[in-house]
Amino acid sequence: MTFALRLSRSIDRLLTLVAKLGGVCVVLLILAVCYDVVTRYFGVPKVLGLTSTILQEAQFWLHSFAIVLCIGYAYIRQRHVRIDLIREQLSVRARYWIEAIGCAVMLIPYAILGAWLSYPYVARSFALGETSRSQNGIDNVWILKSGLLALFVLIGLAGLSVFLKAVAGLAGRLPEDMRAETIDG
Amino acid sequence: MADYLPALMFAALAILLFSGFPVAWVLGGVGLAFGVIGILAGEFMFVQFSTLPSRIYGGILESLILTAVPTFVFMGMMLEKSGIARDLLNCLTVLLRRVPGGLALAVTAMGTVLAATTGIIGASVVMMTLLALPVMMDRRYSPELATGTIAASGCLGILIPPSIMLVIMADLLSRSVGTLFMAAVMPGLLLAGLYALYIVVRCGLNPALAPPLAADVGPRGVWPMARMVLRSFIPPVILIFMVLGSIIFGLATPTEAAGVGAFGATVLAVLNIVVLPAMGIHGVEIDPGAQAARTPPGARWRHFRQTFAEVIDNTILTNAMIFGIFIGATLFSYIFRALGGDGMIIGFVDALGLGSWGLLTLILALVFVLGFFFDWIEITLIVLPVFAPVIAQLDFGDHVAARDVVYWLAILIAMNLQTSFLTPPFGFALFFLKAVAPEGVRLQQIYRGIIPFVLLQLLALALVVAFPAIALWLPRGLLD
Repeated sequence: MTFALRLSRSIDRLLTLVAKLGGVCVVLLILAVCYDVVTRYFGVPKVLGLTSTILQEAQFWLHSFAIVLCIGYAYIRQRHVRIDLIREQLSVRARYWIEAIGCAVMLIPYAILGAWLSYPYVARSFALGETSRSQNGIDNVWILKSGLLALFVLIGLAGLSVFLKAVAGLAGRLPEDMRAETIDG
Repeated sequence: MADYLPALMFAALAILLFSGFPVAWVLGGVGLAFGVIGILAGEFMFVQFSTLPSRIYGGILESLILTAVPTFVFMGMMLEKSGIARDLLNCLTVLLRRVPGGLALAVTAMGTVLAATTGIIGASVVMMTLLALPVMMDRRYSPELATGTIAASGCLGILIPPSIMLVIMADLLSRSVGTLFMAAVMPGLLLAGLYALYIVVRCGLNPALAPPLAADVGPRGVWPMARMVLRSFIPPVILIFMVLGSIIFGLATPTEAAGVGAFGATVLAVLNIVVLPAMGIHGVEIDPGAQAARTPPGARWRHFRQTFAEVIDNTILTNAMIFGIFIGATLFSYIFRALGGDGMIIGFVDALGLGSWGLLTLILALVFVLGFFFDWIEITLIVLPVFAPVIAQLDFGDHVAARDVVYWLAILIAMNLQTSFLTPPFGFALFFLKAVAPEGVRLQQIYRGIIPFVLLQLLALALVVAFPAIALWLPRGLLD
């Protein structure tokens, strides 16, 4: 059990680290939009060969990475929406059961299916050397598509982390200060 | 058996959502499970699963318009966490001190102007409650009036642009975000105007409901007042009008406006936290307890950095929450359709034999009931795709031009959802308010206080149903 909790904590550290990158993507996204607007509407020349097409594609690239790198993290921070109506009446033990079963039969299989389907999708893009749809866009589209793989691997890891904590909770081995991050209260 | 699969799928979703497991994962899990059941029943083939990655990629990752979501969230969070929102509310309160119900009017005005703030109902109601309710209770406002005003104004954010919900609705219905924003302006102002009128009339007739501000609060004289307005009112209002104006007048796309707005909000935050205090220009405090909480001179940049980190963290979490559901719903609605769900819905609706008006009523009633349990994120992402084929069939003849039906309907759904969030005993905006309200505010008072606002909303909804021009006049006037 100690090992399981150590594993869960390591996963959480990884997810937190990766989400920081997602935060950087949001900052870069805002800067990319502003740079695009300033150069397009106010006649400031563009530098480094950055065209409007590249900047606009960079915007959805950055947003994509902000999404895929943070969805798993949002789970360990308990920021995914839950319908609380019945849940509020349930005992802590029942909530651990729901979390453990939910991770085992819904989230983890969903993540595995997603990752398994995404892999050939990314591999095909890589093998074909898929380029941007528009001329002068950002090529190497497989990097963007591999975001899908990252997404499903990360939510799978988040599911594993919460599953381990919930099982520890059922066994009465979960430290009190980790309860909120497992079942949100 | 196979004919009932889509219906079973919906039932399974509904039941499992009430387990309290995160919505995003339930959507994905139910989608996967019914894909497998479909394979066993011979209704679905495993290879059909393989289009899932391209659906997520094409629908979400590759979308330029959806990049407006995190930047709008960032802008709202920055205005809130940097104290700009609080300064604005305090400033409005001082400005409106001679008007009956001035503090309540300030809350309404703030809900209208800062509608962008997060766009998530729970979060904006909580923010407004924390900012305004203690001050209102301190001023001995009637708890009914105070809580009603806060809950109703906090919900304006899903309708008044830049509403994140409208961005996502436009994306799902393949319509222009700019046009939908324009269509939302007049109905939003109509609602805010009705609230303001109600507050002024009610407090004018019964001044005991809303005692005025204490005489010693806020600046006196022309110059100090002007300085307060220049400091706390003009900058955020200009920022928001520039962001909205550039979208509405077609100068910039929502993505561009949101990105520049996020940058502008950051600049305002630096001014508010670092530059202005260093010049000795402080915001007005009307809550005596907050005066002491001022940042000491040496710590201002650190305060800004902390605020910035907090805004980023909240932005990525909110964005992840929205898109987690978006991705789960993509799998769910794809399987639902592959199992014949579209046909089932259309068949069901045809069997009811309702005309377009009957269908409109049905959709609004359904959304109203769902709003008791779910936030707009789940409702728009699950219900809209399912009803899209039905929506496409709606025909209101001369009442609404065919090309405008979808815009009109989206506005009606947004207005209707607000009402749903506020209607006792389920309306969940009320629970969020109760959760952070000061001791002594009772749920019954909140229930009583919200009823007039719910009636005003129903009136506004009826007006927009009867006169679609309220919504469509602005986009048609500007675009044609």
